[in-house]
Amino acid sequence: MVGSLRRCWFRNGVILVAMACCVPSAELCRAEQPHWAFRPIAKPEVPDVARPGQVLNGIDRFILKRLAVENVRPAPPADPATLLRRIHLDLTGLPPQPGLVKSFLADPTREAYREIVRRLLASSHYGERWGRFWLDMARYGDSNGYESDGIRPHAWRYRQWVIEALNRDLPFDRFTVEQLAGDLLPDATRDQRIATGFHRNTLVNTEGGVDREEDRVKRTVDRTNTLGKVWLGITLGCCQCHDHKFDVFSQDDYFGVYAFFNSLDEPLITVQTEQESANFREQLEAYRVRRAKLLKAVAAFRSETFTRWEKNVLRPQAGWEVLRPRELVGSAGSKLTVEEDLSVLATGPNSQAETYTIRATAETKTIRAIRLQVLADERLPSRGPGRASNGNFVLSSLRIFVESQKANSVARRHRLASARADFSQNSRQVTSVLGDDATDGWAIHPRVGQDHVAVFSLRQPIVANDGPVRLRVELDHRVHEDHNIGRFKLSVSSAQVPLLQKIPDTDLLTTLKTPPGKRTGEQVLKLIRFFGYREPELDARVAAVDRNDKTKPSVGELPKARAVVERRPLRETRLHHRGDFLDKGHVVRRATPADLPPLASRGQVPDRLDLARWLVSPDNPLTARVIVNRVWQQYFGRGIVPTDDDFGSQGQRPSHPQLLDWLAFRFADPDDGAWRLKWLHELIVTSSTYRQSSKTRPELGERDPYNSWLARQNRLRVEGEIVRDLALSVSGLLDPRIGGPSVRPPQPADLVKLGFQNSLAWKVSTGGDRYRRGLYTFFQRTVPYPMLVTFDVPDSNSACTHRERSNTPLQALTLWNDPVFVECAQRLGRRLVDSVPMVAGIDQRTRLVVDRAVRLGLGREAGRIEHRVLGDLFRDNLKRYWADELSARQVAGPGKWPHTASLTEVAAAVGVARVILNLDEFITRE
Amino acid sequence: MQNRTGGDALRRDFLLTSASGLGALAFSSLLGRDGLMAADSPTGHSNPLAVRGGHFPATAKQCIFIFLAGAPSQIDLLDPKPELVRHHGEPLPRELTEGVRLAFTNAKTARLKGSPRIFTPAGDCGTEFSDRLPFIARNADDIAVVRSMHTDEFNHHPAQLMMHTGVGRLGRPSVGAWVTYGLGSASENLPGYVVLSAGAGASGGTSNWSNGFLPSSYRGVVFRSQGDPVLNLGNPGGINRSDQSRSLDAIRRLNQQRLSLTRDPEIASRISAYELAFRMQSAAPELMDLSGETRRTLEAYGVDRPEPSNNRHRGYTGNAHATFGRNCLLARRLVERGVRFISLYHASWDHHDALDKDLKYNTSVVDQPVGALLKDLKQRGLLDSTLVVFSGEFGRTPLADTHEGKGQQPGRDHHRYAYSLWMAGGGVRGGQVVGRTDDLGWAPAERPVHVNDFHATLLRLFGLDHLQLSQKFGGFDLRLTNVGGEVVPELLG
Repeated sequence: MVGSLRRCWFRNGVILVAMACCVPSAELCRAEQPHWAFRPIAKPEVPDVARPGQVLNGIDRFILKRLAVENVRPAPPADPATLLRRIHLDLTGLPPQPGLVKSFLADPTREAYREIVRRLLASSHYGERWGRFWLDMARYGDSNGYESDGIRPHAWRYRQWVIEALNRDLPFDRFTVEQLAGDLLPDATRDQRIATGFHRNTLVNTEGGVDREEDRVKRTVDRTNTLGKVWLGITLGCCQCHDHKFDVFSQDDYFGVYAFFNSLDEPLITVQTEQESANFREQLEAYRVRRAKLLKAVAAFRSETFTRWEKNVLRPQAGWEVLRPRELVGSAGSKLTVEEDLSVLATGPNSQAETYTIRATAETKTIRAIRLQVLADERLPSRGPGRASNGNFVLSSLRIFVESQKANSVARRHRLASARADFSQNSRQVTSVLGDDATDGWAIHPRVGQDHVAVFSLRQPIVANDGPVRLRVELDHRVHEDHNIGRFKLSVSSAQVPLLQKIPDTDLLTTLKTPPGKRTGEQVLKLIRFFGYREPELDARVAAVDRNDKTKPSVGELPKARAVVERRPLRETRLHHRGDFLDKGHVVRRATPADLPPLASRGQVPDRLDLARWLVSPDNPLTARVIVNRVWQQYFGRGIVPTDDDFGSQGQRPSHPQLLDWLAFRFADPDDGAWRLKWLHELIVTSSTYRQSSKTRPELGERDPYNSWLARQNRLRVEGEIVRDLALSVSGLLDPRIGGPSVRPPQPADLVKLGFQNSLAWKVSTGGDRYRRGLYTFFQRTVPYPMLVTFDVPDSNSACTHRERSNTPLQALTLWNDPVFVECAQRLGRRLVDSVPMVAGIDQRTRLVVDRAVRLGLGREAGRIEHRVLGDLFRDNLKRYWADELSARQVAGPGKWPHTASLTEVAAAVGVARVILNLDEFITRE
Repeated sequence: MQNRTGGDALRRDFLLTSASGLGALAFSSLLGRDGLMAADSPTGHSNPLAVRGGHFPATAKQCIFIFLAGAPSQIDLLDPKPELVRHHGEPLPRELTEGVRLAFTNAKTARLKGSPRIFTPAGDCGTEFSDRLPFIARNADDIAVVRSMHTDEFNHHPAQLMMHTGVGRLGRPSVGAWVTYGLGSASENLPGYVVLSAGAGASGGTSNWSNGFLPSSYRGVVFRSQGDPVLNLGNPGGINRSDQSRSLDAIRRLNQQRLSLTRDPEIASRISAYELAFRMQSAAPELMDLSGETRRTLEAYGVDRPEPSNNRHRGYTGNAHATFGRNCLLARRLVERGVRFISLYHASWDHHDALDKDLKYNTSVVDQPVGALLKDLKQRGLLDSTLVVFSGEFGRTPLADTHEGKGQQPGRDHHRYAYSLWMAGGGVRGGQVVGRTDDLGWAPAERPVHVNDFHATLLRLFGLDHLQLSQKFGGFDLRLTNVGGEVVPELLG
């Protein structure tokens, strides 16, 4: 009811009582008819035009019709070399090979062009180029963001999925469904679950002190906003806090969509192939065999001193009695069960203010100390030992009581005197467990995933007077929600445990009871480590074991992917007043915005799969328009709707509404485009509109400053990743392998320095990985690769639907002096002289170098000016480096040079290559 | 190229260097007339940053714009409200709640929140500053505090855009771009408009220093906040300055040829960018080398200040104290080297909760270096011609913004009706307070100053008439002050 009332207000031109995102404008509230973008998509008639000769397909008719109205003629077609480079950069992000340029210039027919388009669309590099386009919207990054910015070694699996999905032309409707709800598809495949990694690209805050629920809410908000921006072209983000000022969306609408994402769990799934699993098992087995052999050598070690040491020094020490829990209670619902080794495992609800109560009977006559071992376990998040998602816990207090066997008698509490642990988190010391302070406790981050132990001594010993002692131990977790211990073991001892002595564990005690000759290699190893025994020959054998241990294939290296699954039971969603997650309002059910077509739900409660299918249903007026517009924007620098992420009433209206609908209708029509992106690409790039020259037309500057009529193409500087790809490609350095983990190409020297200070591990990749395409560069969110930032690569903190194109001196400095581009110039320089005939004279050699430079670098034939400018530069360089061999060597860089040229020539050609890489034309798609 | 005044000359310059094909009208004829078709003019063809005069004599020649993103609480820093303290905990008077729109707080149920801060008169003028700004307060006699600012926007991004571009929407040039476009920059060797930031980024992001529809040469150039501010300044081995110069010459000639062929004005911007990059190669290392600064100066700016170990503050990034101190010092060095417009950003002033604690942290980041900057500029005789602005995007409510449940300390909500900023130097009449808010600090009671008025005044200090500094675009004459703006004469010296 609230919704319809609100819409009423709008129609009467009343501004809502809420906060404003933008300047109010009365005209927006007048519309009686639905806003254009919310109307169903109909297929418009293709208009007739006066100059059918210029029509290559339907797109041109819409464009020419508008031009005719404005009395403007379209631009002539781009020259073949420009067109060839344009289509290569647009479809694959890589330049054409010189051989292809030659053959196309010889036969620049429409058929030859179409053939090239088809070939490029079939190339695997297509998936890289358009994959990166999608990754902007998916806010892909290789780290968590925020201050700690931990890395995500498995994130690339999602990128890989995107590249492969585009290459096999997975239709956009399925592309949508698999990413948003692949996990909910019946019999979801491995790939479909990897696709849900889309949701895992949000920032995650793992710092201490972060409210975990608040961070989860932030991620859910980001997912909701991303859906609005990427598929619907709507700034739903405004409605997080208030009803949308100018569009028909309410805060209820917002939380209706939010609710679909409110029950996500975020696991790492194992995704290895059969082959990968087999390889892993094989490696693990080989490692074990090696280890057993090396340990045998340790066990076999004998020496006089060692034998004496073993005999004399080691006397059995006071042991620990492991308590066998008799009764276990979790006050806030945790389910506690005893494992075979007498440890206790916590499962079930993981809540706040949890107290574990353990009742056990001890045989030890005089108890002076109690020991708490917390144990790592595969069943716990991040291997535990805590139940928090990062494996941590916070134990706020430990209380020990003696219960009398007599009924109605009160248990007596025994206070703790001291505490120590093998490790305590910086601000969470084990000593804070001694009192009853509920605001602090013992925690062990970042050393999660391993066992830890704490020992507490009692102020007064517990003495057994008549039979076994009935103990009650209480473990309090009151500091953080869900930071409860996952698995633990309790023991008691009669020993006075001196504060500084190391704590021998059960294993060690067993070892000590074993006669020296019968100890295994593993036991000997542990023993000498614990007591610090050294002897050269023994050390060598131990070192061999250590070396082998480093080769142990880790389960962590098994292929994993970041995915989502639906949590059961579902979380209840309540509206957040003013966007504050603590200020909860009424319950909101999962629903799509009320003013858009209804959602078809499979079950009683709609789920993400229904939502995803709704986005790509024939009734949805937005998705097809939005995606078609965004693809168009890539080709022309500007969308038919220039505000590509705002199809609402605050956005700009389409310049060619009929064309937009014609494209959107055909794209989504199952008998036509069938949501195939390659179909759409082919349609656009084979139009004469796309093939026009991009030369500026001064006579239209005033009438059409944005070139929205498209009376010409636009010159567009290529994206940051492609700037890199181009340089690597023309220099012959590019490693064209598709996919795989992210890589770390060289960075400027100044940053290496920074890396040490901030201990950011930027270990430069070696081999081919040094020369991979830009989209594989490891994206550390807080310190992104500077070259990419300089060329406007988005920060990936939220979905980016269109990049900026800045033009700064910092870009010039990068192309000139960044080590990657210097190396490219050195390689390209070699290529310029590698086929020059040795017999040629200096003038001929110069001509050949320039010809090759322009062909390789710019994909066209050199003209008079290039011959003059680059020829002069080459000749001047020859003189300069002839006289200065040292500089020549530095300029030419490491590595051999072709036998056809001298060092001087290589250095001179590197200078020419460096100019090519720095030309505006080089980094521009014309 | 110098000494041109008024719209026509600006317009012509715009045409020569315009971005995105927008000013491409009659481009070729202009190229021809200025001899730009000739491939090799020795110093490049049209330096978009060449210094030119404004419409009036200027008192300000350069600007350091310190922007505190997230909106600091004027009530706890610059606008003391003893009446508010007296009515602490009471509801807002009924007459104020009618028709009020607040971002998050319910105006009818919220309670007034007096400031716990102590305000003390400073300097000869006696302007009151909060105890959180002791270093800045020492410069009180040079500072004009405007307590009656108001804006149209009360969400961060739109309000930041408004404060930078005069309009709360994307696509317009920022004030730094306008000033640099209008006047060029005296620094031959550094960008005319430099951006430095410390701490977490502002939500407005790069749109805060956008060139909008002006040529891309007027966009703010961002220096890095970690490590060296500018990377890749050194030539590769074996390339000396003269080699680099020959390389630059070849690049320019070939780019110029492409420009004459395609007439894409973006190439003109690229040519200028290369010229500037070449000069920055020698100028920037010298700029960044702080070894010539005395220990006293370094300490005064706090460039080596350690970060407090408690990291639970909003927007904590681990190095804000040192970075912001260094940025203030770099700002002075940029002024000395003639850079026209310098923007310093510090983010996370959005204190909806934990106001007292987080304000203490934030002011400890900015107060000392900003105080040192003012003093240093003055001692060096630079303050007379350098305008320093200290502002957020809007104010904060006199009402408490309370969060139930988690025991958070109260903060203040967004408030667009009244906020404070201060200006110093550049011909601003210091030692005064302009405007007054009502007793509760709710709205201006005297001399309201709208964002457009503030921009009109800022341009006036630079000798620019905000009505004449405009650009025809899409059929409109667009200007920084949008459709409003009146100069505030009290602020002029």
